[in-house]
Amino acid sequence: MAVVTLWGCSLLGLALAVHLAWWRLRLPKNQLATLLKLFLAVFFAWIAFLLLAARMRLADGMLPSPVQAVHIALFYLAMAFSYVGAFTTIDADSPSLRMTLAVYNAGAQGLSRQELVRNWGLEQFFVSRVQRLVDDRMLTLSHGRYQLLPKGKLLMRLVVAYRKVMGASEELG
Amino acid sequence: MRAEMVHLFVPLIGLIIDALCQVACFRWITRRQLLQSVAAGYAAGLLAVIVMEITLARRFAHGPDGLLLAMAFNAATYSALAFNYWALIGLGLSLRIRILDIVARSPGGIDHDALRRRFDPDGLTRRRIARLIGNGQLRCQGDRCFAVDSPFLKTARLNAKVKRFFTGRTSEFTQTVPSPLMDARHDAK
Repeated sequence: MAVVTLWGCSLLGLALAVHLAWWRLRLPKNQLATLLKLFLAVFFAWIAFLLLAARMRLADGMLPSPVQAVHIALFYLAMAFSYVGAFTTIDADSPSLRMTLAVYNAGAQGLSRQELVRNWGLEQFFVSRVQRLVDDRMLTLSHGRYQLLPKGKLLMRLVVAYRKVMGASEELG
Repeated sequence: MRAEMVHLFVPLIGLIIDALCQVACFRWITRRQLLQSVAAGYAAGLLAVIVMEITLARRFAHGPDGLLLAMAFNAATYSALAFNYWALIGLGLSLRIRILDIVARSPGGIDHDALRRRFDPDGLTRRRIARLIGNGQLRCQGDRCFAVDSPFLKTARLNAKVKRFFTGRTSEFTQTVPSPLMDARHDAK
């Protein structure tokens, strides 16, 4: 397990270091997509390095076996996707977190429900999320009407199917 | 079967136990309480990972250091997988999924105003407030709502700090304000 742990943590550390250095120099326009591509680029560069090193018989004792490499890949990809998932709350606001923070910032006097709905509600989220769906090519605006693109359809089907398995209500959002 | 092959399957089995337990809890035990079912599923999966690692350490005669390392690594892998699973089932609460759903139910597409009406931002906000109160994350007396010192509030405060560190603002809807990372970025230019 020592080889797996060492490789897994090094690979993840490398990706995070590149991420931080990149973000310090310049904030990417589409942060989530760039972050995902960065993690995948590091992963595929590592695979290429392993194949090359195995062919050229470099660092024989240090290289993981094929089973260990799969274990390292599982760890790295699970961590990478978790990080990207957590980063979505940095890139975009969560309505519930935002409302909670607004009530906290209001202090002892709190906020009325009406104030919450008016000032911290989902009206502004609607415009922002529709735009993001168009940018992510899940929706298209054609002749003034929004239509679903294949990527959006696929995501929808996945969520609806899983909610059926869970027995959750059909109400979304 | 070789030890390294068996170790590989530990976090995956943990994830399967997590998913089965979460679905069972959601349907029959916690009665549609998503957070409780997610917590129960995670705990069951983590317990399974720990038990499997202890069993494997005995079977393959790993020392205490080997057991600790394998347990820590596979618990971390399992936790990351469980977090991804949680993110997937949480998509049902996503605003984007709600918008996609409305468009999917509109043959021939839908215009912006009709989409906004069916999205129902005010109704949705009221439901969110009710959910926050129901989960003990907000407390209301009469018409006024107050903060509750909960892990959720700590998450909200931490989220605002991290967001400010990375993007220089505490919300996607507010103006940029200086942050340590922004200062460094500015210096680099």
